[in-house]
Amino acid sequence: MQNIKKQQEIIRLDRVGLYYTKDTPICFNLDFSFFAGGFYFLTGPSGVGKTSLLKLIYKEITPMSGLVRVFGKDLSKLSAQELPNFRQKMGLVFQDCRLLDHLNTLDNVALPMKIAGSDLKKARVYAKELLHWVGLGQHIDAFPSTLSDGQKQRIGIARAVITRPKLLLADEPTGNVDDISAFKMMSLFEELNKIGTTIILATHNRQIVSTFPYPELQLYHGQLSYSQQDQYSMSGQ
Amino acid sequence: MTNKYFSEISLDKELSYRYIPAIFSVMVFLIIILISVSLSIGGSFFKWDFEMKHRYTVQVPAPEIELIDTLDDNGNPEENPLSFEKKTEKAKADARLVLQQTITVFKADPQVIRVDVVDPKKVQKLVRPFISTNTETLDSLPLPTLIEIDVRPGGKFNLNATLLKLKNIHENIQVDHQDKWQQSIKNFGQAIKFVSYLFISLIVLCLIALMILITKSAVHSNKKVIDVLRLMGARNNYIAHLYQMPIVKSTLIGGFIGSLLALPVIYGFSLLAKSIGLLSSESMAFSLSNNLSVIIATPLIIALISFITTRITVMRSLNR
Repeated sequence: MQNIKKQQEIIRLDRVGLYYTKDTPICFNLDFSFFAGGFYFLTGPSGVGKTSLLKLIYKEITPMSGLVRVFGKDLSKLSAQELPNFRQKMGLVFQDCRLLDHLNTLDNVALPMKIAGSDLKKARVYAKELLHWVGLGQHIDAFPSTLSDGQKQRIGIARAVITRPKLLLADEPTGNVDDISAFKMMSLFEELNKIGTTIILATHNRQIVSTFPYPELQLYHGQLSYSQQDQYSMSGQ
Repeated sequence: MTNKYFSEISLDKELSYRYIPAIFSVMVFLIIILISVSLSIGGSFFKWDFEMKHRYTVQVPAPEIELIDTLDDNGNPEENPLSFEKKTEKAKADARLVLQQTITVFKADPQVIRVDVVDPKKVQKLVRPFISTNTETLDSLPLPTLIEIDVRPGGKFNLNATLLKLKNIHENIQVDHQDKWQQSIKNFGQAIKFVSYLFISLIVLCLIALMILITKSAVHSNKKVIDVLRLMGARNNYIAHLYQMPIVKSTLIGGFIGSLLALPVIYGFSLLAKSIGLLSSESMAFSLSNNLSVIIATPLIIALISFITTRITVMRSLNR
């Protein structure tokens, strides 16, 4: 059983250390594995380092100690030439959306496919479909500056999933949307998860965490642990 | 409305980027004028040098007319002195004979490809500024007859042997080669060309420096966008391409505006050079066709330099 789990590891954090200051660790000797095809909620108080943990995984920052392995690759050994390919396998949803203001909604969503080398026409067709799915079919020509925060967040999600990534890292994707939209987003994530995408979703939204049957990982005092409820259900299994 | 294409990098708000066409039009204009000057000077000097290298000028002395001398070779009065007119006629006949014999010597030489007697009026024209503008005075002067000869390029013209033959005809026949005095003019032409190339190099260096600054500024102002693109897996090549295309487009627009501005100026200069005798019709046609190549090629070369400079600058900025 243990061997099978090791084979399915998609992310391995091996004694990872990351600190704001010496006394305030984000991670401290953190050992943890995320498994391929899983769906994880990442929770914890504000400022505890959820975003930093995600940044470690997509290599925007590097750990001060320990190893991070993603898709079986040690990120410390990932060359600058390999990094783009590595990131093209991921979908990222940012807390602050990070949309390109001079591009309209359709092109913002089509962007990752264009970067990956897909035909722009094809990318726009997919983008249009996704925008309809996230409820923004009427706004394909709108520019981000004319949209609400919630709408921007939905565009960010559509942009992250358009390439059907192997791993989706979402940082507060439902933070700016109403509950109905949040649940709709969740169903989109679930669809992706069903076709094999591993999802790590950092959130504060307790209602979503409690509604959906996925494990909750709590980041606290530099350590990552399953919530008590999940520990109980896992030990029950 | 969705555009057919889109660029992730927005350069329109970059002030320096917006001035590229204006700056490049002026720079390309200057480069074309300077290249045109160098080419014209170089072309004229080459043609002139080629002609002069194989050209000799032969001076056949003027008829030796004795005006008052009626003494024989021993200083005694001649028994039957000729009248002045007869002496003049004799001297002129002797001179014609010398001229004819000289021409024969050159025409008989297989290494000589052209023998032309210079029109006496032309010779008078050459000395007019130094002696007199009065035609009668000039007519009365004992000016030598000049013969221009061209020898076969690459041939083995034996000047010394020819000089010996000429000495047998008349001891005062002179053969001049233009090498003696043309070197200083050639040096002057080379100096003008060198200065032109120096200025062209300086302008190109300024353009490169300008491109580096514009590109660095554009990379800096789009830093957030670049960060997002890299998080989506954009390669440095991809990002560099986003900068290259609009910048090359702008430099091409500016370059061709500069070319269009240079066209009438070059044509005007060519007409002026022709009118003051610096260019023949043939040379003018040659010069215009040469300049047309420069006018077309310069913006393209400058755009290529911008392309390469932008790419290197973006790649270096991204690698830091």
